[in-house]
Amino acid sequence: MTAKVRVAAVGDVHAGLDSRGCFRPHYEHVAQRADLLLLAGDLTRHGDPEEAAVLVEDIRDVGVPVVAVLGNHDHHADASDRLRRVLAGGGVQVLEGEHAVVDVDGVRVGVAGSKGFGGGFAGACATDFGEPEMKAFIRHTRSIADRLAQNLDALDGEVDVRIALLHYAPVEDTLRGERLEIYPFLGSYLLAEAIDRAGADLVVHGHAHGGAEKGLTPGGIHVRNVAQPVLKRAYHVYCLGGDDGTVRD
Amino acid sequence: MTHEPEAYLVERIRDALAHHPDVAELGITVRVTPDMVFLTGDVGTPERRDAVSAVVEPLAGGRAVRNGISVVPLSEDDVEENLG
Repeated sequence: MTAKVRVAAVGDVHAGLDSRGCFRPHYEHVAQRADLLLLAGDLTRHGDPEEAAVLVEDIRDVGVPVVAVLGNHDHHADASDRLRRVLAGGGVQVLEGEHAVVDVDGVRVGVAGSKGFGGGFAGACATDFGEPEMKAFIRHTRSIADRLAQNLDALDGEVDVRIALLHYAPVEDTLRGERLEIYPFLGSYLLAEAIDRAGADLVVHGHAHGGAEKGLTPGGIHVRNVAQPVLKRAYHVYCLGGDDGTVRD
Repeated sequence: MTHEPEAYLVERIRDALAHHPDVAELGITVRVTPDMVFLTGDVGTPERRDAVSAVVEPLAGGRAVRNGISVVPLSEDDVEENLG
């Protein structure tokens, strides 16, 4: 990989009817700073397709491919199919257990996307044991993690850069600042295990508004919590590839 | 029992904030004392910050509502991180 790819990412923008026009001034220049925009879930407040339309209106024609996953808020209205259609109509590619490939001036960027889910982290993780509801909870996370690994595997050898795009957190590092008691509702180590098994160059997630931006999977893959309340700006840009291979803040 | 225990009131307020259509926030921290309700966290717009107070005040049982919620800034900057 020789060329640098600039990935803009943000999550938890929580668009609502009261935020009409708020995003446009901050995203209309994104093409000058990035080659790709990733949205890490919670695009809306309630999962109302009208809220998605507000977001679409503001990021339409931003000039770079936009790839997204949904978050828990986007499922609240039980209208995720309609939400996806609104977003797709505005040029936003929404992934759920799927992957996409974006060509950036000859560099192929693969994005494996999934909402993810909760359950907790190694040593204190819920187990698929006991009541049907408990088993269903963890099996849901495990199923999502397995699908994520399959999608990253499918991209292996086909692209120059692989990114895992999630809403829920795969590691505890990026939850620092959140209350320990809610960690199981914020993410699962099963996601990190799947990513480490399949390999990736970057993991991006949101959901943890009170967490920290930077972390690593146990296998050493960079994880970035791009929840807007964490970034405290419209988005952040991460550069992959290029010449020096060093981390620069 | 004449007074609702504060722990239950905290959760009743959090539930109201999650479900009210003008707020829909899960991440607001609520602290209740005998005299006050303290609210901290981040929301996306000034309207949502104001809506939080409007939702909480009827539930506060006469306590003063202190709204310390911030509106997330949306500025761009030139910072980028090189991950190699």
